[in-house]
Amino acid sequence: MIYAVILIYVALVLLIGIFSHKLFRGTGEDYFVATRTIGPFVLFMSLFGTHMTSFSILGASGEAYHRGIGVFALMASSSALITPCVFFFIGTRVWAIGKKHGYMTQIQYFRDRWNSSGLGLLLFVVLNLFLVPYVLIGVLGGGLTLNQMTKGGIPEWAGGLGVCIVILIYVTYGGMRGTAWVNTFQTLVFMFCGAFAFIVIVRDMGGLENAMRMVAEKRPDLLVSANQIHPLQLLTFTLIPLSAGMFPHLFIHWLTAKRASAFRSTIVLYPVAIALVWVPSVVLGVLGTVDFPDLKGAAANSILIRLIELHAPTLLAGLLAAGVVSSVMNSLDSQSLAIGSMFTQDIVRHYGLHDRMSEKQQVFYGRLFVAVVLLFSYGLSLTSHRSIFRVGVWAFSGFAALLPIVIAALYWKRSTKEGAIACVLTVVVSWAYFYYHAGDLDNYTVGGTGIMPVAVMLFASSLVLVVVSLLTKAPEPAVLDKFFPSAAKSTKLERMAT
Amino acid sequence: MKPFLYFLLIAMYVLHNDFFTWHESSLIFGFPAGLFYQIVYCFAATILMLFLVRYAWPANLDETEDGAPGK
Repeated sequence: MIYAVILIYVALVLLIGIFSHKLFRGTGEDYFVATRTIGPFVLFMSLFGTHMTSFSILGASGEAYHRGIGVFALMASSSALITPCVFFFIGTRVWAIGKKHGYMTQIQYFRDRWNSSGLGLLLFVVLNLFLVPYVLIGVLGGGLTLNQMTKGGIPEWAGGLGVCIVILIYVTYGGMRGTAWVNTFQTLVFMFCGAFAFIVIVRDMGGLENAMRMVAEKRPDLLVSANQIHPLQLLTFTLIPLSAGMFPHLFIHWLTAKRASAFRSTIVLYPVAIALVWVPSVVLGVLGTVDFPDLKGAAANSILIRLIELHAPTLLAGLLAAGVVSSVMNSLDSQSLAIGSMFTQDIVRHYGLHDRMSEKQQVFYGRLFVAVVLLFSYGLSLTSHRSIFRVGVWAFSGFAALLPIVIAALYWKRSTKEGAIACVLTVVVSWAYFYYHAGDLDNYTVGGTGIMPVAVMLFASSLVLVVVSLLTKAPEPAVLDKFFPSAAKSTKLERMAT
Repeated sequence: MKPFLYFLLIAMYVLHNDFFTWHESSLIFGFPAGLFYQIVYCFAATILMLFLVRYAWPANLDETEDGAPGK
């Protein structure tokens, strides 16, 4: 039965992807950003689905299993405030600039904003360095889910491979429009299934209050935040959701919006949607300690699947498995498309063809690189066994520390390319330093103080950007004219007046 | 209105640090008190976002409604 449900689900996903191809216009802009025609509903669903990965579903429940309810405050409610703010203050502005200048990747914007190909190349390397582990989370999550749900019938390697093949088909065929449509379907599936899993499992455990009392008897420490989380860790963890401002896969989704007002409903609904997805994940992770008390380390990533197997009838288990696989594929597809788009636009088109590339070539290279990225990530997943939550946190920390780049690009006219390059290098060095020092340590904080490495990385990168920008030559007026037209006008008026 | 909404954003950021429920182990509607607070916090954030998009939406964004050709 589980196999039948999974097959039907995959068939539906492929059908949507294939159907979207009917609207394909055969241009690079259509393949990468759906010719900027996405309306409010699909924009919200695709942005939210892309942002919520197996990190949110499997990783959060696995982490809550070890650390209790405080995980919700660490990642969910902090994202509920920070992420919509990022969309409001950064996403909408990026969309406007992207639409005005025809950008399809964030590197195109940063390269033009500071008139520096070197910065573009550096960012290309660094963004991919942080994004590949994140892609890996999806492949690992897909393999794990299918393996658990079929009781080992589908080996993890085959599950991960299956997920990659399905994504490969609809992303290469449907491009961004296909991805956004499939994302919308998948987001509906995993939101519905998450809530459904929560109700079914909690009811089977005698109701929420009863289930929590069972946890209180066995693991009371999981129900009180103070037992597992340092106050400074809670405070500094709120910086990690800032990563949304630099995620290449969210960036390309921002560019797909038809108009700025399409962002409004996304910004308003985001906090509630986050609660809807994370409450079941965290609560079920905690409740899992009642039925499966002895899971160690990364084995807890499968707690949600184990609970579904134990408490849900076969058909429901299949549906719920489809929900988890949805959340996994939802991000993996956009991430592959984002990397494929960066390879095509920022490397092949910019360096190989000197910014001249036919529409057909753009689509061809886009498809080719999506395939390469998926193949590469799949290969990596075969040798990686780290906790999904920790792999995610390290990837997010890198992106969050890069945030000063986009803020300076949008809001600080005096920022320079030297400042931006120094900022990126600072992030790379500090990230490598902390990653090396953390090693395999669980819950690493700076010097054991409770401060997350991201706080130090972000502070250092911001400081370096400001200091180096002020010490170097101010940007050319022509650049400011292009990106800050109103400021340029007032400067000219001031000059004329004097 | 904008400065007041930005002040509320900062206040919300501060309120995320729920040290008042930090050692609380009681259940509210079946949820541990700390988790219940954070769920309510998410709903409060939604209301704040509603006000933000209504009263602090940048006017110049709507000028970009019909855009430019692709690159």
